[in-house]
Amino acid sequence: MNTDDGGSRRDWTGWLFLLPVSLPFVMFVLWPLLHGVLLSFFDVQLTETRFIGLDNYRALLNDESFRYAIRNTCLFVVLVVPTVWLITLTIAALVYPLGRLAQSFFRLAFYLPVVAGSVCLAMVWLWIFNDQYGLLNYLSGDLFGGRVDWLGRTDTALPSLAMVVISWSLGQPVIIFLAALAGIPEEVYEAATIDGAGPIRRFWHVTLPMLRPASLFVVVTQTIGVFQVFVVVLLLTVNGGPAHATRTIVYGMYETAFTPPYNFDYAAAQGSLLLVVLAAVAIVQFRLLGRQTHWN
Amino acid sequence: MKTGWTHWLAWGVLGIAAVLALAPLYWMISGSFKLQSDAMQTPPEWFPDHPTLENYRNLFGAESLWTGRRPTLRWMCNSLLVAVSISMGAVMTSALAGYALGKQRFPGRHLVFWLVVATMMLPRQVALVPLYLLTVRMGWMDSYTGLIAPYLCFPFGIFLMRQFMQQLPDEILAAARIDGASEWGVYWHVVLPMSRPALGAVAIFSFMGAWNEYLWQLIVTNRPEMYTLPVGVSKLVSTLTSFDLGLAMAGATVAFVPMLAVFAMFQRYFVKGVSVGALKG
Amino acid sequence: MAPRRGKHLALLCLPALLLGGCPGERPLRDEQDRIIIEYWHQPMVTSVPGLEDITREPGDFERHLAREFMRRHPDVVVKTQCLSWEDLPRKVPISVLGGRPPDVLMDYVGRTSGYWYQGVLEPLDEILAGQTQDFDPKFLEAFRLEDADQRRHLHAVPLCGWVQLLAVNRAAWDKRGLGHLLPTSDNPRWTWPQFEAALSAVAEPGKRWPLGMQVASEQGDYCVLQFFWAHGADVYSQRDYSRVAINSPQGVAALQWLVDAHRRGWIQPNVATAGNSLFDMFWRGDICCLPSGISLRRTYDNALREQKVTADFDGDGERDFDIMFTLPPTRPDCPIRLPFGAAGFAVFRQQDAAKRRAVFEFVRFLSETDVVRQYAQAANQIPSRKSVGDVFAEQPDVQHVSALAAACDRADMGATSPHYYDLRKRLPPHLQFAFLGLKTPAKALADFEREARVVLKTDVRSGSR
Repeated sequence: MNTDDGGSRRDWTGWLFLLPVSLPFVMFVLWPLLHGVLLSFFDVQLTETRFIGLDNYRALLNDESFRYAIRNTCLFVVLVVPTVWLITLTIAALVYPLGRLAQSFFRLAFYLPVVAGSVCLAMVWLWIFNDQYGLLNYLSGDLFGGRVDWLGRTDTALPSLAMVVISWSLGQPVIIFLAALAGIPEEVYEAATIDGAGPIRRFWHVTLPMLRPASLFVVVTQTIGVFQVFVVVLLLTVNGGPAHATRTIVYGMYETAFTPPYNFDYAAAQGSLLLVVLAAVAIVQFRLLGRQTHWN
Repeated sequence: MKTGWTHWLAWGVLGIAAVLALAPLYWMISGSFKLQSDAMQTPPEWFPDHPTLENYRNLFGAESLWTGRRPTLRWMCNSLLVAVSISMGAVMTSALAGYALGKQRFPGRHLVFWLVVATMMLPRQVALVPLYLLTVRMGWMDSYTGLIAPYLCFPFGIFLMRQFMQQLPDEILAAARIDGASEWGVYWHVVLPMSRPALGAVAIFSFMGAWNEYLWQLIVTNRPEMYTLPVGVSKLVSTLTSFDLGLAMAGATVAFVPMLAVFAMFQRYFVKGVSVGALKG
Repeated sequence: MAPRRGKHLALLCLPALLLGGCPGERPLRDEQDRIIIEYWHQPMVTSVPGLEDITREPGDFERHLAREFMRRHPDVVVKTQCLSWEDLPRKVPISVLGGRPPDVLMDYVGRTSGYWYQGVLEPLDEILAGQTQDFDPKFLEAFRLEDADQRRHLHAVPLCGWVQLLAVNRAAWDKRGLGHLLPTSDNPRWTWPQFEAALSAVAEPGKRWPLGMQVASEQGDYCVLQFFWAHGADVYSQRDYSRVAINSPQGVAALQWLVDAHRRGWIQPNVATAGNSLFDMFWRGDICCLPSGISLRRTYDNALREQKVTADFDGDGERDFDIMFTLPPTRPDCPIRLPFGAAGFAVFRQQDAAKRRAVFEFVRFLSETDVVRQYAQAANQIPSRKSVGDVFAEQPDVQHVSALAAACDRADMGATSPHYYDLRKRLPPHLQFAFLGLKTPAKALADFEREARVVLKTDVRSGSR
């Protein structure tokens, strides 16, 4: 037996365990990711594939719809991520002191939209946003000057979609924050109280910093999730909204690759840029919020 | 526990927030019991004045449940089959890989782990077109294989299992080995039983992920019989043509119920899984 | 260390090895040594005159034709497959990618031309040898496409086609005593001032908009482009597919007229977003006329059955609907040009000489006069062969306008251009900008032309730019 300590073994048995997994991993996860980037440098036709270098990227730079896709995706992130973080943090902070039962109840309440899923929610919001008989127009009455075509106006379409995305993004962060709050030891609060800090001071100087790992996780996962917004755009607006108002990067990829004329390589170029942008965003977020996770 | 006006204020605010979050779901369910003409009324009916099962009859009745244009029951079965298969596959592969990366020491394990983390963080959409082309060339279009195969390997699951298994006490494993257990025996009889919470979390996450995997299921399926439930139900609405509101809401409700049932049964694992993923990592 | 490295390499090569094994090609002959022909087609016709009881569902007629052909040629077996409208643009390219395309495809010329430019179709000139005089030259002209050497070949055998007219709900005018503003069925032509006067007469802000149009998606391009041609503008000029010509002064004038009409309340407000179905608004009477082909009548029958037709212009509680087809209104100095959609039979590249002969024989059979007549009558479309005669002889209300339409010039939508679907998809957003007032018509069309230029620079076949 080659072991240095009692439990872990040092030899190639590990590879045996990995073997069954490595095939699907390489074939369906690793290679497609690489291939996705590679494809962007070729022109894929029905009968042949030829190398075209950076032509796709040059075309992307001049593509107005892609510029809108980037703008809209960033807008989504700016609208959704801070809002979700703030709302869920507030909810968790308000719920936590109310006791176990309240925590369970509200956790469930905010998680149910997550359980319903984006398709169901998109379908009901399509009805709610309807300009003729939708609930929102009825409730807002004359507040905005009569009936508003929420999904049809270039200035309201994207915020409307953002609202839908927020509604199903609240569940997971609430759970995370509640669990994180439970992990803060009482002594820390006691120390702060002894030092004379009031409830608000305590929250700002004790709770928030201790919630940093959870906040980081929430912000990163929410950002990654928002970057991939697709279902709402497909189901609520037509071809990316009036005048590209709701077109996102992933929707653009779908439209490019899976509607005629099935421009696979052009979509791959868009995907590669998405990859680069997301990687950059992840790096920035890690730097800004500090690497407090244990990767080991 | 503080009482007093701040306490009631908190309840009030939370109550409103909860109502706002749940209102669309209520609207969806109540709408499914309305006829098209009632659903389009202004002022809207807060509670259906003339509740009807017509929409559900439409959804499940008209043509065959199994073939044809709107085989709703088949959609549910498709979704279940696909999600359960993916979930089982994900659990098996994640456990194996997680154990290898967490407890086995072999050259190259750090590289492999970083590969797993990298693929976990990178957007899956980059892989969309290559996976599609692969599916076409392998003849898996419009088949269960095409829906399931690409998701058998679940990097996040591998990550979860690795983090969890790494923390398992080495002494127990050493004891098992001393007792004469083979490597496989250690894995199967000692490690796996101890990893149940993490396994449950992986099962839940992969199940949910598979159920909600709309984009892939949309592009891989052609025939209505092969749609999964979210894909089939989403075809009930349209932005370009008018559609039957009541029927659409019934469809949405039907798509909601299975996940609700799963969630109700495994609620503990949901919460645990989310925490394990967020805080242990 | 060596054995371990070898194992790593083997693992990495496995996916490649697996990819090499694809599902095999389709078998050439069946167990009885008969040649197998795969025929895929649109769900184009049901209730073929004379065969109504055996042609109830889409696909029945094609199965009947296949049986007929197999009777004549016992050494061939024809398998038909009816693809839905959603499947046609998806399943066929997938089958080509996967190495199992059909042998014969009956589909819209916009799609078959795409396959031609990708180099996967057989030129079919020899099928029509000796019969070309019987075919309408306008059809043949449209179906002859260039190959890599810039020679024109017949890429598919034309079957039948439809033209885009203007469908007018006369009741909207008649019921208000304004029927005299409209053309008569004896002379279904507009003058431009007459058209504007008619629109203005029935427009009711907030309630009724005379003209229906949709630029939210590319599905509505026929409607919009009709007014471009009315102003003398072209999408492509003289079949020169190397550049778009829509941003000409006439094109800008056309878009300006449309935007002004929208502002004046002549076109329904949600033109850029199509929140509601255009047809539903037409049935309700919110829209009074709509660019459409004669097939609208069948859609109207369906709508009647579904009780969607509720237009009531004089408030008497009775349904007011009276569809009249006219030629599209055109500016005085511009010729009337009609966009023209057609379907044809295309043959995918064949490797085996004997099978190729059999497939060509089958297409020859499918394009016989009798078959073309049956298709044209069932689909209510203009046949490609002159020997079929007048399909509309028994429909007096549309016979006259159809005859006039058949004689008009054809407007080129670009269905036979290599980048048809790409540019077709890119145009609507630019039009939306103009309709929403975010760009002037001139800028919108100039932006489209600039975008199109990048796309058109690619040679579809060679990928070179």
